[in-house]
Amino acid sequence: MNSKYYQTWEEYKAENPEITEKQEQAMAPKMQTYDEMLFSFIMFLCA
Amino acid sequence: MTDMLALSQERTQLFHDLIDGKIPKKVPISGSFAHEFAIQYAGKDLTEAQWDTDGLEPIFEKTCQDFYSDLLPVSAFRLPSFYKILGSRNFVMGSSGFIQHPEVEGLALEDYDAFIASPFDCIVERVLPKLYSKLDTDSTQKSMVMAKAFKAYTDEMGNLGRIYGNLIQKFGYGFVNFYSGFCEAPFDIISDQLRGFKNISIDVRRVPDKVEAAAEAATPLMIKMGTPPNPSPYNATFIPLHMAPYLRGKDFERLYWPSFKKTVEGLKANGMRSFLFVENDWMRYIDYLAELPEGTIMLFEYGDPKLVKEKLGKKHIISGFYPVSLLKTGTKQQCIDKAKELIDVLAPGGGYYFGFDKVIITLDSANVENTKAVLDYVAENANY
Amino acid sequence: MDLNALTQAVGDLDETAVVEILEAFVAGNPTGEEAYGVVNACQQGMAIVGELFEKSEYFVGDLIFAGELLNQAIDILKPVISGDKSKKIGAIILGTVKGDLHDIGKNIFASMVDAAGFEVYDLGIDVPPGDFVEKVKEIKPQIVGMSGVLTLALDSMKATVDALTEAGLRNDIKIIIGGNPVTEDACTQIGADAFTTNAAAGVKQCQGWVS
Repeated sequence: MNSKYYQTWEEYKAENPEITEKQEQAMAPKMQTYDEMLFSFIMFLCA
Repeated sequence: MTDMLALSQERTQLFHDLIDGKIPKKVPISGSFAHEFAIQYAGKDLTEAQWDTDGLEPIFEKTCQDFYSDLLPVSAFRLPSFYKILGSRNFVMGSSGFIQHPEVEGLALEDYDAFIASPFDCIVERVLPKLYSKLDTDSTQKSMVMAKAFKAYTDEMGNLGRIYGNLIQKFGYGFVNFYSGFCEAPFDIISDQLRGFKNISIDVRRVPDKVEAAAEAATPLMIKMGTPPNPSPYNATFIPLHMAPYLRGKDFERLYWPSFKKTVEGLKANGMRSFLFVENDWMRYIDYLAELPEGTIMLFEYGDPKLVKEKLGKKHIISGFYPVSLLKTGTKQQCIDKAKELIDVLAPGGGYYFGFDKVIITLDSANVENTKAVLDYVAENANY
Repeated sequence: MDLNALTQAVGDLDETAVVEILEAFVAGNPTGEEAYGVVNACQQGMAIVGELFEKSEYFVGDLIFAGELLNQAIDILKPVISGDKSKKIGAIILGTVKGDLHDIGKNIFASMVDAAGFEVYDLGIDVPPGDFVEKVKEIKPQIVGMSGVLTLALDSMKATVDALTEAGLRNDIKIIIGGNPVTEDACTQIGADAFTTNAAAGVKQCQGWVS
């Protein structure tokens, strides 16, 4: 989804190239979850 | 294994058979009561109980105890805390303690193009501040309000999730969840909170091209919204349908159907089946419904059960039609006879579970004794 | 000016045609009398809309659009309609009753009775019985319309009728109730004069009362 209010992990990583592979494994699932949760909440607010 | 776990597994099997196209041992039952009903039934104050969500478990328990169902029969959908924090205009608690939905305009006519270009940006930037007065402010305030509201929302959802889990265990309900995701038909999301009922009815005539493009733009958003983190073939995404019965056939065909069909197909491609609440009377659109993916669950409010069984019964899973209004006005015998009549039409060959034609929202919308009698009758008599 | 063509265009909900006909009419500097003939033709067009709705050729969305179209027509005609208010066929006070916030049905009905020639006083939503009583005292309308979607609205409707009776106003007015939960039984219990779940039929009823 193309929106500045929703970020995929790939987009986040492109902005933060210093992230190592080890960090990525730990971070990616969790970081993505919060974007998804906020997306769901915002959609719920207008549904 | 505990008795309740065995019961859960037995009930889960009923729904798995239903979904797998096999004939279950008996007609599965899904009772559906809103949290407002449960609160009134437990004799509690509506306003207080809706704020104190920690305390909802014993309240829901009372409904679970007294009304037969194979799946958890109580659910809460909208709670006041986060709406209040946000200064909601679209969901407001009236003097009666019920959260209701006044007509709002979240999307201005001149904002259609922004929505079409980027629906999510438009929702965040333009729609939310119109729907929520506390978001109609500077960006720092906005982020503080949003943080509070999101915390309240996740707290409430956490409480509800825990309560649901406890009740499923305690009463041995099936491990099947038809509300595991939620979204709307693209035309409906544009109508309900964005343009409003009156505006959309006018837009359909004056700016049909914009409406069509907006519905298309909303489709990927709806598919994403309706896809839960862990899709399962035995769960479903709830889609309450709204506007189609108020449209002319040719407007439906152009503006409602194509994006809705794509949404259901998109969810299917993501591993989710749709559970449609087919509100009002869709009989003039029944051939369209027949086009939806196999195994789509449809709970009907009004219409002709025989026609639905004939046209959809082999491909889709059907429920509903049982008039909650009869539970209020009929005698016990009339109520039971109606259940029998519907089961005789809808149950043969499977693909059916028993459900009322709508969620029972308030204590005064049905006679409690009739409701119990009907659920008990179906539980005891509707065997295959 | 072809009044039948105008009536038909309104009935067809053909906005472009209606606007074209009316703008041409207004450009011709018509008399107030002629203008009322045209308003009347528009109202007959609304009757066609009502009939098509009853025959399930039009649906609720079309009724809403029809109300909007009529408002627009009246706006175009305003410059040539004299300020004479006596042409209003009656006054009606409307509101969604206490405890209920739903206003879609009430709004549809309001725009339709407005289009039918009534002076409409809309009290909004969640309206307590006392507000109905005060407004009836002030306006002395022929008709009071109460709307609601929730079952609890029926109790509020009864409370409102009781309050109007207590204030000694009940016999001066006709009361119509509308919305999802209203039935003939409910109407009798509440003590209203008529009930409807169909805005077009409700308008007909109101016209019958004042004709």
